[in-house]
Amino acid sequence: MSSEVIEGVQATRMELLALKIRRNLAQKGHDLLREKMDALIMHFFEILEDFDKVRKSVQEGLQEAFLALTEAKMVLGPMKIREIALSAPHIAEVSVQTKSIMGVRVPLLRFLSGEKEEEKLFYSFVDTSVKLDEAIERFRKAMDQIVKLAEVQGALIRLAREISETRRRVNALNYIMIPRLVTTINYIQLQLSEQERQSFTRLKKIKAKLEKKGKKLGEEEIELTPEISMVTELVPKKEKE
Amino acid sequence: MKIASIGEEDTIVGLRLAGIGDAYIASEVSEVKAAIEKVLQDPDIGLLIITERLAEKVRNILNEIMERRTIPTIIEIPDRQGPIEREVDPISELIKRAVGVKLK
Repeated sequence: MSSEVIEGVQATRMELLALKIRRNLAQKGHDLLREKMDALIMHFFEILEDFDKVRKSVQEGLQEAFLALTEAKMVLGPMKIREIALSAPHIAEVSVQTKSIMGVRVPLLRFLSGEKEEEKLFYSFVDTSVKLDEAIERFRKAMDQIVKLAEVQGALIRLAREISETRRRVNALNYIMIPRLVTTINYIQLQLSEQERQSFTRLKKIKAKLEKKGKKLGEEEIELTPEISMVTELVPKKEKE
Repeated sequence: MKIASIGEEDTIVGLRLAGIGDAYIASEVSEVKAAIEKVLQDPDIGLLIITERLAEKVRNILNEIMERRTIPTIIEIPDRQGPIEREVDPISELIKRAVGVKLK
Protein backbone atom coordinates (compact mmCIF):
# COMPACT_ATOMS: atom_id res chain seq x y z
CA MET A 1 0.00 0.00 0.00
CA SER A 2 1.51 3.27 -1.03
CA SER A 3 0.38 6.39 0.67
CA GLU A 4 0.56 10.01 -0.21
CA VAL A 5 3.29 12.42 0.64
CA ILE A 6 2.14 14.96 3.18
CA GLU A 7 1.26 18.10 1.30
CA GLY A 8 3.17 21.31 1.66
CA VAL A 9 6.46 19.92 2.92
CA GLN A 10 9.68 21.48 1.82
CA ALA A 11 12.53 19.21 0.91
CA THR A 12 14.97 20.49 3.46
CA ARG A 13 17.12 18.83 6.05
CA MET A 14 15.25 20.65 8.84
CA GLU A 15 11.99 19.22 7.64
CA LEU A 16 13.54 15.79 7.33
CA LEU A 17 14.73 15.85 10.92
CA ALA A 18 11.39 17.07 12.19
CA LEU A 19 9.61 14.32 10.23
CA LYS A 20 11.91 11.64 11.58
CA ILE A 21 11.14 12.76 15.11
CA ARG A 22 7.45 12.68 14.31
CA ARG A 23 7.73 9.21 12.84
CA ASN A 24 9.48 7.89 15.93
CA LEU A 25 6.87 9.47 18.13
CA ALA A 26 4.06 8.00 16.06
CA GLN A 27 5.70 4.60 16.22
CA LYS A 28 6.06 4.82 19.98
CA GLY A 29 2.45 5.94 20.34
CA HIS A 30 1.31 3.11 18.15
CA ASP A 31 3.19 0.52 20.19
CA LEU A 32 1.81 1.88 23.44
CA LEU A 33 -1.76 1.96 22.17
CA ARG A 34 -1.41 -1.56 20.87
CA GLU A 35 -0.32 -2.75 24.28
CA LYS A 36 -3.20 -0.90 25.86
CA MET A 37 -5.63 -2.52 23.46
CA ASP A 38 -4.30 -6.01 24.16
CA ALA A 39 -4.65 -5.43 27.89
CA LEU A 40 -8.17 -4.06 27.44
CA ILE A 41 -9.21 -7.07 25.40
CA MET A 42 -7.82 -9.37 28.07
CA HIS A 43 -9.88 -7.62 30.73
CA PHE A 44 -12.87 -7.65 28.41
CA PHE A 45 -12.81 -11.41 28.10
CA GLU A 46 -12.37 -11.85 31.83
CA ILE A 47 -15.45 -9.75 32.47
CA LEU A 48 -17.30 -11.51 29.69
CA GLU A 49 -16.86 -14.81 31.52
CA ASP A 50 -18.31 -13.24 34.66
CA PHE A 51 -21.14 -11.82 32.62
CA ASP A 52 -22.19 -15.20 31.26
CA LYS A 53 -22.13 -16.67 34.75
CA VAL A 54 -24.13 -13.87 36.32
CA ARG A 55 -26.63 -13.85 33.46
CA LYS A 56 -27.28 -17.51 34.01
CA SER A 57 -27.73 -17.07 37.74
CA VAL A 58 -30.13 -14.17 37.14
CA GLN A 59 -32.21 -16.37 34.87
CA GLU A 60 -32.26 -19.22 37.36
CA GLY A 61 -32.85 -16.93 40.31
CA LEU A 62 -35.78 -15.25 38.63
CA GLN A 63 -37.29 -18.54 37.58
CA GLU A 64 -37.23 -19.71 41.19
CA ALA A 65 -38.61 -16.39 42.37
CA PHE A 66 -41.51 -16.55 39.92
CA LEU A 67 -42.23 -20.07 40.98
CA ALA A 68 -42.36 -19.04 44.62
CA LEU A 69 -44.55 -16.09 43.69
CA THR A 70 -46.98 -18.38 41.91
CA GLU A 71 -47.14 -20.61 44.94
CA ALA A 72 -47.80 -17.63 47.18
CA LYS A 73 -50.52 -16.53 44.79
CA MET A 74 -52.12 -19.94 45.00
CA VAL A 75 -52.22 -19.79 48.75
CA LEU A 76 -53.21 -16.18 49.26
CA GLY A 77 -54.86 -15.26 45.98
CA PRO A 78 -53.54 -12.83 43.40
CA MET A 79 -55.49 -9.87 44.80
CA LYS A 80 -53.98 -10.19 48.23
CA ILE A 81 -50.47 -10.50 46.82
CA ARG A 82 -50.95 -7.42 44.68
CA GLU A 83 -52.23 -5.52 47.66
CA ILE A 84 -49.19 -6.46 49.72
CA ALA A 85 -46.90 -5.60 46.83
CA LEU A 86 -48.44 -2.14 46.56
CA SER A 87 -48.02 -1.52 50.25
CA ALA A 88 -44.41 -2.63 50.30
CA PRO A 89 -42.10 0.16 51.46
CA HIS A 90 -39.71 1.62 48.90
CA ILE A 91 -36.57 0.55 50.63
CA ALA A 92 -34.48 -1.01 47.90
CA GLU A 93 -31.65 1.14 46.66
CA VAL A 94 -28.50 0.73 44.73
CA SER A 95 -25.20 2.29 45.67
CA VAL A 96 -23.29 3.60 42.70
CA GLN A 97 -19.55 4.02 42.73
CA THR A 98 -16.99 3.79 40.01
CA LYS A 99 -13.73 2.01 39.70
CA SER A 100 -11.16 2.19 36.98
CA ILE A 101 -9.97 -0.60 34.74
CA MET A 102 -6.99 0.55 32.67
CA GLY A 103 -8.22 4.11 32.97
CA VAL A 104 -11.75 3.20 31.90
CA ARG A 105 -14.29 4.18 34.50
CA VAL A 106 -16.72 1.36 35.15
CA PRO A 107 -19.64 1.34 37.57
CA LEU A 108 -19.52 -0.45 40.89
CA LEU A 109 -23.07 -1.27 42.01
CA ARG A 110 -24.29 -2.76 45.21
CA PHE A 111 -27.88 -3.74 45.98
CA LEU A 112 -29.18 -2.44 49.28
CA SER A 113 -32.38 -4.17 50.25
CA GLY A 114 -33.09 -1.84 53.13
CA GLU A 115 -31.04 -1.28 56.24
CA LYS A 116 -33.44 -2.10 59.00
CA GLU A 117 -34.79 -5.57 59.48
CA GLU A 118 -38.09 -4.16 60.74
CA GLU A 119 -38.64 -2.35 57.47
CA LYS A 120 -38.45 -5.58 55.57
CA LEU A 121 -41.33 -7.00 57.57
CA PHE A 122 -44.08 -4.87 56.19
CA TYR A 123 -46.91 -7.39 56.08
CA SER A 124 -48.78 -9.17 58.77
CA PHE A 125 -47.80 -12.73 59.51
CA VAL A 126 -51.23 -13.61 60.71
CA ASP A 127 -53.04 -13.57 57.40
CA THR A 128 -50.15 -14.42 55.06
CA SER A 129 -48.27 -17.58 54.35
CA VAL A 130 -44.70 -18.71 54.58
CA LYS A 131 -44.84 -18.98 50.80
CA LEU A 132 -44.94 -15.21 50.64
CA ASP A 133 -41.86 -14.92 52.81
CA GLU A 134 -40.14 -17.31 50.49
CA ALA A 135 -41.14 -15.42 47.37
CA ILE A 136 -39.91 -12.14 48.82
CA GLU A 137 -36.63 -13.68 49.88
CA ARG A 138 -36.14 -15.15 46.41
CA PHE A 139 -36.87 -11.85 44.72
CA ARG A 140 -34.38 -10.08 46.96
CA LYS A 141 -31.76 -12.62 46.05
CA ALA A 142 -32.61 -12.26 42.37
CA MET A 143 -32.30 -8.48 42.70
CA ASP A 144 -28.85 -8.91 44.14
CA GLN A 145 -27.87 -10.86 41.05
CA ILE A 146 -29.61 -8.41 38.72
CA VAL A 147 -27.64 -5.53 40.18
CA LYS A 148 -24.47 -7.54 39.80
CA LEU A 149 -25.41 -8.18 36.19
CA ALA A 150 -25.94 -4.47 35.67
CA GLU A 151 -22.48 -3.78 37.04
CA VAL A 152 -20.81 -6.34 34.81
CA GLN A 153 -22.79 -5.26 31.77
CA GLY A 154 -21.85 -1.64 32.39
CA ALA A 155 -18.20 -2.59 32.57
CA LEU A 156 -18.51 -4.61 29.35
CA ILE A 157 -20.14 -1.78 27.43
CA ARG A 158 -17.64 0.81 28.55
CA LEU A 159 -14.69 -1.47 27.87
CA ALA A 160 -16.06 -2.32 24.45
CA ARG A 161 -16.32 1.37 23.62
CA GLU A 162 -12.80 2.00 24.80
CA ILE A 163 -11.52 -0.94 22.78
CA SER A 164 -13.08 0.22 19.54
CA GLU A 165 -11.85 3.75 20.18
CA THR A 166 -8.32 2.48 20.81
CA ARG A 167 -8.49 0.23 17.78
CA ARG A 168 -9.48 3.17 15.64
CA ARG A 169 -6.48 5.13 16.84
CA VAL A 170 -4.09 2.22 16.42
CA ASN A 171 -5.30 1.71 12.88
CA ALA A 172 -5.11 5.38 12.05
CA LEU A 173 -1.51 5.46 13.17
CA ASN A 174 -0.60 2.16 11.61
CA TYR A 175 -2.26 2.52 8.23
CA ILE A 176 -2.33 6.24 7.61
CA MET A 177 -0.09 8.33 9.82
CA ILE A 178 3.06 6.21 9.86
CA PRO A 179 3.07 5.21 6.15
CA ARG A 180 2.51 8.83 5.24
CA LEU A 181 5.42 9.98 7.36
CA VAL A 182 7.61 7.24 5.92
CA THR A 183 6.80 8.11 2.30
CA THR A 184 7.36 11.78 3.01
CA ILE A 185 10.72 11.03 4.59
CA ASN A 186 11.70 8.93 1.57
CA TYR A 187 10.53 11.67 -0.75
CA ILE A 188 12.60 14.30 1.01
CA GLN A 189 15.64 12.06 1.06
CA LEU A 190 15.28 11.47 -2.68
CA GLN A 191 14.85 15.15 -3.31
CA LEU A 192 17.86 16.03 -1.22
CA SER A 193 20.16 13.54 -2.92
CA GLU A 194 18.84 14.67 -6.28
CA GLN A 195 19.68 18.26 -5.36
CA GLU A 196 23.09 17.12 -4.24
CA ARG A 197 23.77 15.36 -7.52
CA GLN A 198 22.59 18.39 -9.45
CA SER A 199 24.84 20.78 -7.63
CA PHE A 200 27.69 18.31 -7.83
CA THR A 201 27.52 18.07 -11.61
CA ARG A 202 27.07 21.79 -11.85
CA LEU A 203 30.21 22.36 -9.80
CA LYS A 204 32.16 19.89 -11.91
CA LYS A 205 31.06 21.61 -15.07
CA ILE A 206 32.03 24.98 -13.70
CA LYS A 207 35.38 23.65 -12.64
CA ALA A 208 36.00 22.18 -16.08
CA LYS A 209 35.07 25.44 -17.74
CA LEU A 210 37.31 27.39 -15.47
CA GLU A 211 40.24 25.07 -16.14
CA LYS A 212 39.71 25.36 -19.90
CA LYS A 213 39.59 29.10 -19.60
CA GLY A 214 42.74 29.05 -17.50
CA LYS A 215 44.65 26.99 -20.14
CA LYS A 216 43.51 29.23 -22.96
CA LEU A 217 44.84 32.24 -21.18
CA GLY A 218 48.19 30.50 -20.73
CA GLU A 219 49.97 31.33 -17.55
CA GLU A 220 47.66 34.16 -16.89
CA GLU A 221 46.13 33.81 -13.44
CA ILE A 222 42.42 33.72 -13.08
CA GLU A 223 41.16 36.03 -10.54
CA LEU A 224 39.90 33.86 -7.66
CA THR A 225 36.56 35.21 -6.74
CA PRO A 226 35.13 33.71 -3.54
CA GLU A 227 32.69 31.58 -5.56
CA ILE A 228 35.39 29.99 -7.63
CA SER A 229 37.57 29.18 -4.67
CA MET A 230 34.61 27.55 -3.07
CA VAL A 231 34.07 25.43 -6.15
CA THR A 232 37.64 24.28 -6.34
CA GLU A 233 37.58 23.37 -2.72
CA LEU A 234 34.33 21.52 -2.94
CA VAL A 235 34.82 19.36 -5.96
CA PRO A 236 37.81 17.23 -4.99
CA LYS A 237 36.30 16.64 -1.60
CA LYS A 238 33.14 15.30 -3.23
CA GLU A 239 35.10 12.95 -5.43
CA LYS A 240 36.68 11.25 -2.49
CA GLU A 241 33.31 10.28 -0.99
CA MET B 1 -29.74 5.75 44.20
CA LYS B 2 -33.15 4.42 43.38
CA ILE B 3 -34.03 1.52 41.18
CA ALA B 4 -36.85 1.67 38.66
CA SER B 5 -38.46 -1.17 36.80
CA ILE B 6 -40.79 -1.62 33.88
CA GLY B 7 -42.39 -4.94 33.20
CA GLU B 8 -45.54 -6.96 33.02
CA GLU B 9 -47.57 -7.54 36.11
CA ASP B 10 -45.85 -10.55 37.67
CA THR B 11 -42.39 -9.10 37.38
CA ILE B 12 -43.50 -5.84 38.89
CA VAL B 13 -45.31 -7.52 41.78
CA GLY B 14 -42.19 -9.53 42.53
CA LEU B 15 -39.87 -6.55 42.35
CA ARG B 16 -42.23 -4.43 44.43
CA LEU B 17 -42.11 -7.15 47.09
CA ALA B 18 -38.32 -6.88 47.02
CA GLY B 19 -38.73 -3.20 47.86
CA ILE B 20 -38.35 -1.44 44.54
CA GLY B 21 -40.27 1.83 44.54
CA ASP B 22 -40.57 3.06 40.99
CA ALA B 23 -42.20 0.08 39.36
CA TYR B 24 -44.38 0.51 36.29
CA ILE B 25 -46.66 -2.10 34.87
CA ALA B 26 -46.67 -1.86 31.10
CA SER B 27 -47.49 -4.01 28.14
CA GLU B 28 -48.18 -1.67 25.21
CA VAL B 29 -45.43 0.26 23.49
CA SER B 30 -47.01 3.58 24.45
CA GLU B 31 -47.13 2.56 28.11
CA VAL B 32 -43.50 1.53 28.04
CA LYS B 33 -42.54 4.81 26.41
CA ALA B 34 -44.43 6.82 29.01
CA ALA B 35 -42.80 4.86 31.81
CA ILE B 36 -39.32 5.39 30.36
CA GLU B 37 -40.07 9.09 30.06
CA LYS B 38 -40.97 9.23 33.74
CA VAL B 39 -37.87 7.30 34.75
CA LEU B 40 -35.60 9.61 32.76
CA GLN B 41 -37.03 12.65 34.49
CA ASP B 42 -35.91 11.43 37.89
CA PRO B 43 -32.17 12.02 38.22
CA ASP B 44 -32.01 9.90 41.34
CA ILE B 45 -32.74 6.68 39.48
CA GLY B 46 -29.50 4.83 38.94
CA LEU B 47 -30.73 1.57 37.53
CA LEU B 48 -33.61 0.73 35.24
CA ILE B 49 -34.77 -2.85 35.07
CA ILE B 50 -36.88 -3.75 32.06
CA THR B 51 -38.08 -7.12 30.88
CA GLU B 52 -36.54 -8.40 27.67
CA ARG B 53 -39.89 -8.70 25.94
CA LEU B 54 -40.71 -5.04 26.50
CA ALA B 55 -37.16 -3.92 25.81
CA GLU B 56 -37.37 -5.55 22.41
CA LYS B 57 -40.35 -3.30 21.57
CA VAL B 58 -38.52 -0.09 22.34
CA ARG B 59 -35.03 -1.16 21.29
CA ASN B 60 -34.34 2.12 19.47
CA ILE B 61 -35.17 4.28 22.44
CA LEU B 62 -33.06 2.17 24.77
CA ASN B 63 -30.09 2.28 22.42
CA GLU B 64 -30.38 6.01 22.21
CA ILE B 65 -30.48 6.37 25.99
CA MET B 66 -27.47 4.12 26.40
CA GLU B 67 -25.64 6.17 23.81
CA ARG B 68 -26.40 9.49 25.44
CA ARG B 69 -26.45 8.87 29.17
CA THR B 70 -24.38 6.92 31.64
CA ILE B 71 -27.17 7.04 34.19
CA PRO B 72 -29.47 5.20 34.48
CA THR B 73 -27.87 1.89 33.64
CA ILE B 74 -30.39 -0.20 31.78
CA ILE B 75 -30.57 -3.88 32.49
CA GLU B 76 -32.79 -6.40 30.80
CA ILE B 77 -34.14 -9.40 32.64
CA PRO B 78 -36.23 -12.32 31.45
CA ASP B 79 -39.86 -12.31 32.56
CA ARG B 80 -41.73 -15.26 33.96
CA GLN B 81 -41.82 -17.02 30.62
CA GLY B 82 -38.06 -17.17 30.63
CA PRO B 83 -35.48 -15.64 28.33
CA ILE B 84 -36.64 -14.89 24.80
CA GLU B 85 -34.99 -15.99 21.59
CA ARG B 86 -33.58 -13.02 19.78
CA GLU B 87 -32.21 -12.59 16.32
CA VAL B 88 -29.43 -10.38 17.58
CA ASP B 89 -28.41 -10.54 21.18
CA PRO B 90 -27.38 -6.97 22.05
CA ILE B 91 -24.42 -8.17 24.06
CA SER B 92 -22.92 -10.50 21.48
CA GLU B 93 -23.47 -7.73 18.95
CA LEU B 94 -21.47 -5.46 21.23
CA ILE B 95 -18.68 -8.02 21.50
CA LYS B 96 -18.59 -8.45 17.75
CA ARG B 97 -18.16 -4.73 17.28
CA ALA B 98 -15.55 -4.35 20.02
CA VAL B 99 -13.32 -7.32 19.48
CA GLY B 100 -14.07 -8.05 15.86
CA VAL B 101 -14.86 -11.72 16.39
CA LYS B 102 -18.17 -13.41 16.80
CA LEU B 103 -18.50 -15.62 19.81
CA LYS B 104 -20.75 -18.64 20.20
